Amino acid sequence: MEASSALTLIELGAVFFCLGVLGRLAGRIGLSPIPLYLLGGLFFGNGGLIELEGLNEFSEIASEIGVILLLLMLGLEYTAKELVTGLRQSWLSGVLDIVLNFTPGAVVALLLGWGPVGAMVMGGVTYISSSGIVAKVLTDLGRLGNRETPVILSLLVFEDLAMAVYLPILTTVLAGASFAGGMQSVGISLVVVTVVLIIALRFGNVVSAVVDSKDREVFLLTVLGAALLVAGVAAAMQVSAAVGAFLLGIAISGATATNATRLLEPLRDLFAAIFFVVFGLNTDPATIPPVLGVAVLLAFITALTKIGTGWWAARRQGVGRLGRARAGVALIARGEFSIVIAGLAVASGA
Amino acid sequence: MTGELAALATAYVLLTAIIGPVAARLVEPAMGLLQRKPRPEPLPAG
Amino acid sequence: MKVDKTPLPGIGMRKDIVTSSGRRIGTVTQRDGETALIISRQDDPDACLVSIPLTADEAATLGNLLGAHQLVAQLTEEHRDLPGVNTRQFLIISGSPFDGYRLGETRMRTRTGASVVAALREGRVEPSPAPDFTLHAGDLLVAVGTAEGLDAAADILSGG
Repeated sequence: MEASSALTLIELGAVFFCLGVLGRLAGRIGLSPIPLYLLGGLFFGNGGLIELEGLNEFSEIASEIGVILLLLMLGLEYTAKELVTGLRQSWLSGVLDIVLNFTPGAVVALLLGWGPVGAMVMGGVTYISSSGIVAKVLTDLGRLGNRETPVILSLLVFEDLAMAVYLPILTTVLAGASFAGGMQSVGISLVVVTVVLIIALRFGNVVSAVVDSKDREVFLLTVLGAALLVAGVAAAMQVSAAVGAFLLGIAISGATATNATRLLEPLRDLFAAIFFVVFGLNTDPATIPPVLGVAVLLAFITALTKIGTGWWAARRQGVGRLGRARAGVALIARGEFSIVIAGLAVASGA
Repeated sequence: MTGELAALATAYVLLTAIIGPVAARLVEPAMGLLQRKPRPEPLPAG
Repeated sequence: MKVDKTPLPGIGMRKDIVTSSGRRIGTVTQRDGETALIISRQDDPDACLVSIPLTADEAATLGNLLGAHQLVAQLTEEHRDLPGVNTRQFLIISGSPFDGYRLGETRMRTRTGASVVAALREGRVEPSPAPDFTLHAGDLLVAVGTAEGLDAAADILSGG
């Protein structure tokens, strides 16, 4: 027992330390750390250069908390009002986004013989852009004041709302439910999302008041506790833990949301890093070369479809050619949520 | 399927997450070349 | 002047105006309060030539240079023939004792003889603000009075 706990500490420490070094490297060359975390996981794990044995128990629950925090923070980022306005303004571009970018992943999965469930997963993976990477790129390149930027951001908002409906369906489908069961969960999740949006719009300050506290420690524990509780209850109801956290994030608003973001950010970074590493750990690097050709092709196609989406959405807002190109290219990066989706599929063992 | 799916998703995210930011940086010069118009930035006037 | 306010979901708010020469000038304010001055490019009005981060002080000073400065210059010009009458501007900083209080509660006129002839808020001028005008951090008050009166007013506004 003693020896294994020591081993866990050593391995965990080594992993974090290496991630820190990788993160510094990423910052130096202007890369998002997400791909490097994945590479780090591949390097360490199952079939990688060094195999880690002692991490399993801790890392599994930690990576789940990572997903919950990722989605909670995503919900905190947007106010319910922004979501509703975004939905109203960009639903047409949003639908085009789904059609153009879900399809390639789904088609490839079907061609590979992974069936409708695999198609649903891969479609989700190729659909959703990484709001984290995109926001960082826009900030780093000083494009926040550009005219195409609100177009890009409202597309991201639409995608994140689409996730709130998609994830519960995916969870049900992965659990092996029938078509009718799937439709039922679509219905339930649509109703739940709508109810939460209404609650957040009308009574957002009540929800905020419940979790708010002047004391940092109390506040941290309340917010984190509420998030895990809601996520757990959502998971028990088969609605997907991540979506529960996302909806809680939306319901918390105003100054409470800003404070919660500030407080939770380091925790999110830590646990999300564990999540990416664990995903990489569980992936055998030897399985990558055989699918590399497909991955390159898929990346190429979906880069073009994202450019098309951004181009079209920006043109609708009267943005010029150069701005349309910027909008399209900015959307290419996929990241955290694609891995969340793939992680759900892997966890269910489908 | 799970192993392959994880591998494909990993490779795909690695590619797009690396290409995306790089492409975002290069899109302006690339468009400039495509349109064959050198784009010197005039001094802020007016 | 029409100010375009464009929400940037998840980031903050962009506010800009289009000048008569066709350039877009404005600010991007992020959630955490960070403000940047943006100026659009001439060849590509969608993009920004610069995006300069400003501290609260820098932003207020820039606002003064552009807006209040002109007003004060104009008032000074008008009072030139009245020796002993001065015009001065006071910024209500955040944390000021009168942030959130009404102008009348400063009792500035009674105590110093100086009177506030205009208040500037978010680029707009409120001429002759009434005693029930509520002060907010970031407001710029333009006061007219004797040099001693204005010194006393500065003491009141900074210390209460």
